[in-house]
Amino acid sequence: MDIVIVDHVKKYFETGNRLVKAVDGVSLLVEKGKFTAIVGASGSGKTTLLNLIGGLYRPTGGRIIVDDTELSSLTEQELTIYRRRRVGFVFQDCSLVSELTVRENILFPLALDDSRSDPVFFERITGALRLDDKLDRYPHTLSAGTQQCAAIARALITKPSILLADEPTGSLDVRTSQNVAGLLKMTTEMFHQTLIMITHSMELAQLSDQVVRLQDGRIV
Amino acid sequence: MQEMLNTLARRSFAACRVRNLIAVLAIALCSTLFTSITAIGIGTLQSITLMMQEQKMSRSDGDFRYMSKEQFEMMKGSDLIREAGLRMPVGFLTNARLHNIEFDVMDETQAELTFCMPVHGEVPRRENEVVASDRALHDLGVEPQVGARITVAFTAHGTDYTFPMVVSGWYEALNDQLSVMWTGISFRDANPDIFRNTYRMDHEMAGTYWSDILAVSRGGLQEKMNELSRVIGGDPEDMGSPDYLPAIVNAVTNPSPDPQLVAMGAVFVALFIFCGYLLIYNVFDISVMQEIRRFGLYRTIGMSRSQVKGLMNRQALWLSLMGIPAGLIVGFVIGKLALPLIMDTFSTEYQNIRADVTPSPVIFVSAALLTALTVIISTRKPVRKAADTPPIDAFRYVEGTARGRKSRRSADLARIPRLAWSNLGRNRRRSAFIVISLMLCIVLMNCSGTAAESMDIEKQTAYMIRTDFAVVNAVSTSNMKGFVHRTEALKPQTVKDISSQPGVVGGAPVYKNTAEDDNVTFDFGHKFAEATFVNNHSGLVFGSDEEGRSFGLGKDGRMICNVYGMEESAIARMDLREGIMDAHTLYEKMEEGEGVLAGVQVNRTDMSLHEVFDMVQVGEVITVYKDGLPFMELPVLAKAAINGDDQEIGFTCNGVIQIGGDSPHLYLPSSVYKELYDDPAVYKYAFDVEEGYQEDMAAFLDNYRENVDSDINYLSSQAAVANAEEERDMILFVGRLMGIIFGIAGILNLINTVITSIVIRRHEFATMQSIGMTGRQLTGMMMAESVYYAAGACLCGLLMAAVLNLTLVKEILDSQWQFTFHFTLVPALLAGTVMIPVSVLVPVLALRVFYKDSIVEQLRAAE
Amino acid sequence: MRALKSKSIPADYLLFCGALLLIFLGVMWEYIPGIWVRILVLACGIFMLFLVICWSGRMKKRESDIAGRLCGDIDALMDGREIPDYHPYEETGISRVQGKLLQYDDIMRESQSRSDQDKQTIQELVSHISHQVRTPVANLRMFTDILQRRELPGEKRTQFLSVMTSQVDKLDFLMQSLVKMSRLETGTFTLHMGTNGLYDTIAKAVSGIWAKAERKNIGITVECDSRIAAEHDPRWTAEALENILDNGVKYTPRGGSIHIHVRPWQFYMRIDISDTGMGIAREHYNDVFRRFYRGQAAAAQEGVGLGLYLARGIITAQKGYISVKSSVGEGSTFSVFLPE
Repeated sequence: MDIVIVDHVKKYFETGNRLVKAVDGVSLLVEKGKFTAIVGASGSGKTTLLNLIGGLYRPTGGRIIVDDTELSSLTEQELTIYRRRRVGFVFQDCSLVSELTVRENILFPLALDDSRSDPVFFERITGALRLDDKLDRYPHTLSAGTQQCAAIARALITKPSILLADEPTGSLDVRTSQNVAGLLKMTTEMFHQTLIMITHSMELAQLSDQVVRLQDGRIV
Repeated sequence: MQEMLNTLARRSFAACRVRNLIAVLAIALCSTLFTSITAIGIGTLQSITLMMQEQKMSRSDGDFRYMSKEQFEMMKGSDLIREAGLRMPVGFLTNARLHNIEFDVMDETQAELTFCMPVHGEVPRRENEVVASDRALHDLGVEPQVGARITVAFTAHGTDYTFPMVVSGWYEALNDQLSVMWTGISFRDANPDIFRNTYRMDHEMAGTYWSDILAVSRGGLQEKMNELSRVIGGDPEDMGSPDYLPAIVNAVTNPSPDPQLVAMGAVFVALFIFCGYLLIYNVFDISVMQEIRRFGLYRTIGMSRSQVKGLMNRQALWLSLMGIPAGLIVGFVIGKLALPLIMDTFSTEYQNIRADVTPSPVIFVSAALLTALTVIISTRKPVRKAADTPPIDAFRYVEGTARGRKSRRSADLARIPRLAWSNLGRNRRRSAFIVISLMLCIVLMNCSGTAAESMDIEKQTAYMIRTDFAVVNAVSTSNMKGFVHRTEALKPQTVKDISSQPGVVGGAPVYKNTAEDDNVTFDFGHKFAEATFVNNHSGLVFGSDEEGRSFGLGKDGRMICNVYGMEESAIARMDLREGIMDAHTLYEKMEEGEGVLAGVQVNRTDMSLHEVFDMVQVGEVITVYKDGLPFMELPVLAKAAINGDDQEIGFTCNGVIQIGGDSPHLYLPSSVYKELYDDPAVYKYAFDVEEGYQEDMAAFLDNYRENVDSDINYLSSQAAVANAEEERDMILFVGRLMGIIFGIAGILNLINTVITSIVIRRHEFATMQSIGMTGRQLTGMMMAESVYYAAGACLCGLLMAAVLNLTLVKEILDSQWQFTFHFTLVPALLAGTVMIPVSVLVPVLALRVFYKDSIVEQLRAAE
Repeated sequence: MRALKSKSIPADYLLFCGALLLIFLGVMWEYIPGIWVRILVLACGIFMLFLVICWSGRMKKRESDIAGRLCGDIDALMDGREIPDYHPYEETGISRVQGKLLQYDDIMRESQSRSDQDKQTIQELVSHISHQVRTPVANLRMFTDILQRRELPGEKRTQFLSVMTSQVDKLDFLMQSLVKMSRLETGTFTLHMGTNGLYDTIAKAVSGIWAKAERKNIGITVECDSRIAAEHDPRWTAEALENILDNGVKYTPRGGSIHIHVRPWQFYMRIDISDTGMGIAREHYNDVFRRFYRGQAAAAQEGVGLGLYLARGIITAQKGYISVKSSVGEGSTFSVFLPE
């Protein structure tokens, strides 16, 4: 069963008088519960593709179907809720809200949806990501690796069907990056989620079920 | 959900203290502005109203007169009435010497409403107890103290009564001519004879019921009161009717709103809201921009637009909750302190004014509402901007770099200023706001400066007084009375005492006709309708013509005019315009009885003769009647433009409007005047003093008034100058206050922009530094940016100030007679010279505070 | 606080009482001045009552609407149909609940399909094991047969018996693996977690495999600070490591070497076990940890393909994980990450 169907998707940007074809006719199927790695040189359109799937951009052409819903048919408000409920984002740079503690950061997406957290699930996630003793600390007091773990926990808390990770290990050193990637894989397996990850490291890409290689906005 | 957003809002609020401080400051400044202005406005209104109420001796909404007991009860029970006092006038005391003492039966409500509650002692309870003013008691020859025994004598129903009374309490008189002595209802019950109601037969007031009332609502009060008067069986309009029951609205308490004033207020409010908008909009815009990456993150995670808006609005609310109360308090204090300064300018026109403002909720509520409105208006756009930014873009937001940046190789030396120049275009709107608010500061400073500079003090002084000193009876300077009666003439002893002072030169009395001189009348063939109304105070019947001019009429129904008797020296000082232009020749001719000098009021703006009052022409003959018989014929020999001093004193004309009204002012030599009038009253004693005696003379007169003759008041040329200067100071004060407020708004915007620049462009700076820009060059660049703003504002400001000065300001000033337009740009230049150093200082300090980490840290922080 | 909250009277109840009170006052109390005031009070009361009744009726209707809708949705799901009229991305409560319901349904289906899969696996397992067991059992039968029937010379007897012992050992190994696997699958094994020295655990694992390695002339070197400790159960971890080592020994040719390197990682203690064996192709990285997976090149070796599967199960249960990195023909490195 394919949870994400990307069908001849194009995304062009206009900068000044130049047309940049960030994603140019990409088709992609992602099976439910699998780990897909997207690799490619910088500027090859990886992030744009991920953002398209995450509903952050609207495609210039083509269709993206997630969970039987075509994203372009959603309104701005619906897209917001789509992001909130269906998608978990993990970014390259630490994207935690610096004014909130780790616990609050993790619970933030739930709070936005006016939901209560399931304490058991919360403990499971934080336990798996080894955040138990750091819950009441502020992000800036933690190492980059731990911050990324918190970001992963935040992405997981809503039990999203898809986890989108944009070089989650990009700004980490080699050791930490392997740890974080391992955790990401482990937790998604544990919670039966679909993981789509952009990475530079072939080592991480090897962990995946499917590797998509992009070049100049096309799959090669 | 709410909890989490609260936490988030609270923490991010706490995190950016400097920015919030600026925002709170902006809001506080705005609310300070509103509060002080409202406080000053309301305080002025309150003070003037209270003063006028005191002069009118009533703070009621209105009063009913000549009622019977039944009518009074009915009136009291009506829905319209919130409070009604009881007053039964008995009459004036016949045993009073100089002071007019009205003797009434009153209840406490009435006493309360008419300012005669005893301050010392108690209200009268027994039939032989009274409350009176200190002046009344002095006049009756006792010291004002509780328990003093006095005799009260009056006439009612044609019978003379005398009662021995005990003073149960007393109060300080508000008015030096008239005060009320009152006793309680038990006096009425003990003397039913006096209080027989015979008003319908003989118009005897004793026995009628009067009542000052407070109404439930003030809208359409006159109609409602008239209606009530009819309901209780009276006739509110026809004076001749036996049921005449006038319902009179207290115009002092219920002033009709002046549309011009309202419009001006609206313009000011709009201007202030605009000022607040300039300030607050920018602060919030910058806040949003600084936070835009954060909002992008929120949006990416799944925060909806309304949630972002909620977050922003919450912060705005907190900032307001901090800023507004602070502003309210500071503003009120400023208003309270500034009020006397502003009220001072009215002090020559209004006596014994008490400049004070109470912390009324109206001030605070309206100021707070205005500020809140401003905050709402100015945050709407930034909030929308925050909510509308698409998630990913905002997340990766970097403020747009200026477009069309051209590099010129030849500009190596000026590279850094050039770099700074190209940075200005990054946010046009913000740059515009900074420049506009700084510019408004300069323009307002300059306009007020120009107005102050153009204030023609000499012209004003010359209008107010021609000699060094002029002494008159104090009634003349009271706008509720005026010089009307012969008893108000200066006492010969007083004139003598003053003229015997050292340094007095050319002292001469000026005679003026009074209400008692109604046997001398004038006729020059002007047609008018007879007997249209009676002036309450002078008792003269007035006639009026088709143009709406009204004239005081004598016993024989002819005009009594305003007639002055003067010495030659005084006539010589007058401004002769037509006819015989040589004062000496004129005076000689007039002494021979060959004619008269007619005075015509001027258009103060251009000092030309005012056509409305220009009724007699040179050569026309005025027939003078005495006791109804032609006495002499006086051709008009010359016409003079008369000013305040020729008319009365200073700006007053309280007496003339009650005597001659709008009829011509006639000036005669003293000898002729004395021939014409049987008992000539000295209105004024005008004199110069030798150099160096001004202060001594002023001190003498103050002292004299204090200890010998409390009836006099005087004006000196020095006081006139001071009065004009006060007015100028107020213009300067208000103008500068507004200028400074806009200046502060501009500077705050500048500080904010510089800080934002530093915070947002940290990475850019760090990059520049890492490729070899020194700290000094960086500071130089920021300084150049900030100076460009200030310099731009100064240039625009100067230009605009010049243009405005030559157009709008000139127009306005030319229409006001007190001003003679005088072009100046000095205040603008001064403001500019303050602004530029400040603009240099701001980035230096800001860089020191906000940019102190190492380059590497800066680079990392910006990641 | 909680007691208070739970006992707080609902607002509509209060309003209802208020309305009744007003009506009562309006009807009964003749001291209210003025007939109009009384009528007003009465009218207010009736109006309030009306509002309260409307309100509570509305709330009840809404409640039953939602309940009815959800019941319908659940019925549809039970039937295997789609949820009717479903708007997934609305900011409404019902859409949220429906979303959750679908997610739950999804997970149930998932676990259903997984258990189907498991059943199949078990069947395969049974057939596999029966296959594996068949040879030793047949051998044993044959040898006991021979031993029972004939008088054999002592030398031959001893030889037969030793063959039989090895067959029994193999059976035992199979049995043990089976037991461990089933316990792992059912989650019934107990871990005694504690911060223990890794050195001892590794020593234990190595000692289990030492003899085998000696036989193939494979050198095992260990690089481990004796002070290094990690949060783990020594017995089971040793078992897991032994399985990995066993695997290494098995696929490393004679004269090869195995190197164990322990070093602290960020949150973990990392144990690298590198061999100089035949290596694993990249596409099989994941497969080697599967049950009964045996590489094609590994067909020659004996074994059932449970060792790595068990090892991973044990390590994951301890909140650690295993990754592999390899190049074909040069050897592979298994990295075990154990929490610090």
